[in-house]
Amino acid sequence: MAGKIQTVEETIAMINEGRRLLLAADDSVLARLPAGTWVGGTIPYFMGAEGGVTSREVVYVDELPAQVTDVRIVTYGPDDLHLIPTDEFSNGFSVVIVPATSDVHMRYAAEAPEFSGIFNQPLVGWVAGSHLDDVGTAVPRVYAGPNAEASSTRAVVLHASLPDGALAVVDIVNLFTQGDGPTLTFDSPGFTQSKVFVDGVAHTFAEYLTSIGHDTRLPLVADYFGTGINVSIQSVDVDTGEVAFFAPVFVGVEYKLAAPVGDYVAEFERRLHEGTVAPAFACNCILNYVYSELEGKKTGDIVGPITFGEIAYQLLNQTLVYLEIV
Amino acid sequence: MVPNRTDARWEQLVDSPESGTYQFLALRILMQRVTLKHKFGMSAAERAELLDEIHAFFVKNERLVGPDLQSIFG
Repeated sequence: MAGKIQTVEETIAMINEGRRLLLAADDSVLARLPAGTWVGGTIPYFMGAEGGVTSREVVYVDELPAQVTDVRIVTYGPDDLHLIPTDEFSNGFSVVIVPATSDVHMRYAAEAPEFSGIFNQPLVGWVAGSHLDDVGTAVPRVYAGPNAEASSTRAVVLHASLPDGALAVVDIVNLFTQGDGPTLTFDSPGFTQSKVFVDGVAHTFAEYLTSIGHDTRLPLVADYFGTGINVSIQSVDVDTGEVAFFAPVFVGVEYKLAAPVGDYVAEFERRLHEGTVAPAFACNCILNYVYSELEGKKTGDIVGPITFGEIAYQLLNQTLVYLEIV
Repeated sequence: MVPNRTDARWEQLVDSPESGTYQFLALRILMQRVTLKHKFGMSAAERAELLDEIHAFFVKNERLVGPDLQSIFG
């Protein structure tokens, strides 16, 4: 069942009925919700059935599919994240939400690809954020519904079980492809870099991007056997030479700057026709929402929160992530 | 059917990850990790652990990785 945007009152009623929910809303809204079988994260941006919506007053609600037979809600600190795969059901899926800029966000981004068993069960999720006007003042938070408990330092995961015969599948839509420019590599991992190797030659990264007039709305893209994995640019500081990202770059991975995407909505529809998939959950990046001016526009029939990072096993940027039950 | 862990083609997957093509999203990300580990070198213990992990991945995802099993193992 596709998720939808609802009022706080409608959401409270669903929670009190015992329905199992994935929620996204402004912190002031989530804080009003009663305990129940739900997890949530703070964000006031959503892709609804009628297009992108920005609101501090509504709730985006995904109800778990009826096939889900059991639910386990667990929170994890930075040192416990590697336990996420061990808490998963033997057949099912998990949804993780992490608070933006927290240590748990940074650690998940850097370490998740190395977690033992991380790829054995479908794992999707997103990075909770805030209104863009409040970045730096508002504190992103996640909520564990059983106690309606909020945290800015822990990740919350809803583990869901499925019966035999039902499968969850994770996929992504990334409209960015590697451009024709040089290969970029790094000699240390991290969310910030001052040095970049351009076809093997060291440069000051901020100077390099400035010298080529790079449009910083275009991410770095790595090619993982045909799947583009983005690293979005947060800032370029020519004084320090430092470039900051919304995800870490990794040593040994070859990146290229992305080729431009023209009409995001049209390109999205070309890649994922309406009716092609019926996700149980989906999320898309705030950068896509802002750069492609998605408020009031639709991304096919895919709905969901607009997030400060997306998770399909590992952290992604400027990507739509979705989970289907097949 | 996922080949037994002792099948030599698992070792080929770990030793030459870039010689294959992969369809399943999680497998593509996993094989990127294998590529990096191969690039930087692994101890014998790390290699054995990686082999176990890859085999377990295929067993866990057997119903979803049919095309990849066919491509790798024929």
